[in-house]
Amino acid sequence: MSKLQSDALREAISGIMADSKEKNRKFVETIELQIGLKNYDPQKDKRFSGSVKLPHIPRPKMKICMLGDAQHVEEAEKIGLDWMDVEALKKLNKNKKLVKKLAKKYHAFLASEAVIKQIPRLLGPGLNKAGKFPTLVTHQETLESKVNESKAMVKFQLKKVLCMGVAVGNVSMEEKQIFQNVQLSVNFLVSLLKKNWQNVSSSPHSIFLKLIASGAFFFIVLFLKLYVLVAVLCLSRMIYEWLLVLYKNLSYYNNSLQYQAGMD
Amino acid sequence: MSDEEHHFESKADAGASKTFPQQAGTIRKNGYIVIKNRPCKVVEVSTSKTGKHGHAKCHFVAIDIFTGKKLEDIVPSSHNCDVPHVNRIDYQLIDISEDGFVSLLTETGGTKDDLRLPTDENLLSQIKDGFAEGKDLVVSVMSSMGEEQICALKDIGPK
Repeated sequence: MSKLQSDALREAISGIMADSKEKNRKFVETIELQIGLKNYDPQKDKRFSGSVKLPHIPRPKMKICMLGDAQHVEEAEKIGLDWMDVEALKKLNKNKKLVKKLAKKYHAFLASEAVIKQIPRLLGPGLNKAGKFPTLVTHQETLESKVNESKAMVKFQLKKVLCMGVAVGNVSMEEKQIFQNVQLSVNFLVSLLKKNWQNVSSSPHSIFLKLIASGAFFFIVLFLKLYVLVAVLCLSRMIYEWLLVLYKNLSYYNNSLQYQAGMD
Repeated sequence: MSDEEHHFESKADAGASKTFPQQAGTIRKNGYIVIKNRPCKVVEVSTSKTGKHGHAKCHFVAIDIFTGKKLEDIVPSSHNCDVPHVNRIDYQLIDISEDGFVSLLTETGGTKDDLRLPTDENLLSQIKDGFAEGKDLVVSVMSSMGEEQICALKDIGPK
């Protein structure tokens, strides 16, 4: 049984969509799910990480790079995917700045089985520090299906902090699709916290609605004594490489970070 | 419209038992035994027969495989003891984060991020120095009874 109130979630999603239409942007905004855990000590408790495939792709314009062997590089060229082979990786020569640039350029990486074992040797810890360690691709499945699967994948990983954020949709999706994505994400996350979740007792919930100065919409569903704080944030993502929009995007990001810091 | 129920099985195994029973008299030196709910490796076994009508007893001296503490137990040799399942898996070291956790590359190509650096000073310094020098390191992870710890390190060197 899901502890997330369906009505509250629908209300939150409707509010986000209405607010997004009210202040229309010239690009497609991303909807991000932010989760804060309580009664959880990152130092002592067992850490977890897991990935789940969402039924609807939240970020169709995600940039993916293929680090492949000869066969995968050929496939990547056919479908127009960016690629790097082992020779190109060797040229980076474990240079930290170059690896960081590579990590910033793409949202996710795929790697062949032969290549992924060499990545710690060729690239060092850079990709892993950026949270973009490549996903394994085998030759048994087509590269295109793997790319789509990778775009639909969201990863929950608990490290030093008690907050996680994952993109679960965008404003061009239907409300029902966003609802399904959010519900699946939360239920999957809760399954990773199985013991803590069982300690939850049902309580009346309260809803907080706040607007950040930049105009971003932040909607929180709070359950008293709940271990999982779920927040649905409407966050802007730039589609067109427009300098002004990029500047605004940075402002939103900073504002979100400041607000998030205030929550702790 | 009803809610869609999604269920995820978060257990890595099928809920198998962490131990299996074995007769005390058949546990030998260098075997494994559970003493005071801790998985231990046996370093010394002695069998004694007590009195005319007594039964033989086994005296175990064992070391906790995670903490290195010495534990002792005396069990009648015909009784059953718990023996822990102990696994050793090798992972390639990817990263060491500032808060003392490591990232490892699994056989299936994923990353494993829930392991701490070991508390053994010698092994710890070896790992840190090797990583700082950019070496290719493979760590052995021992897992038993729901606990995991890095227990060995080797440098596979450039191929």
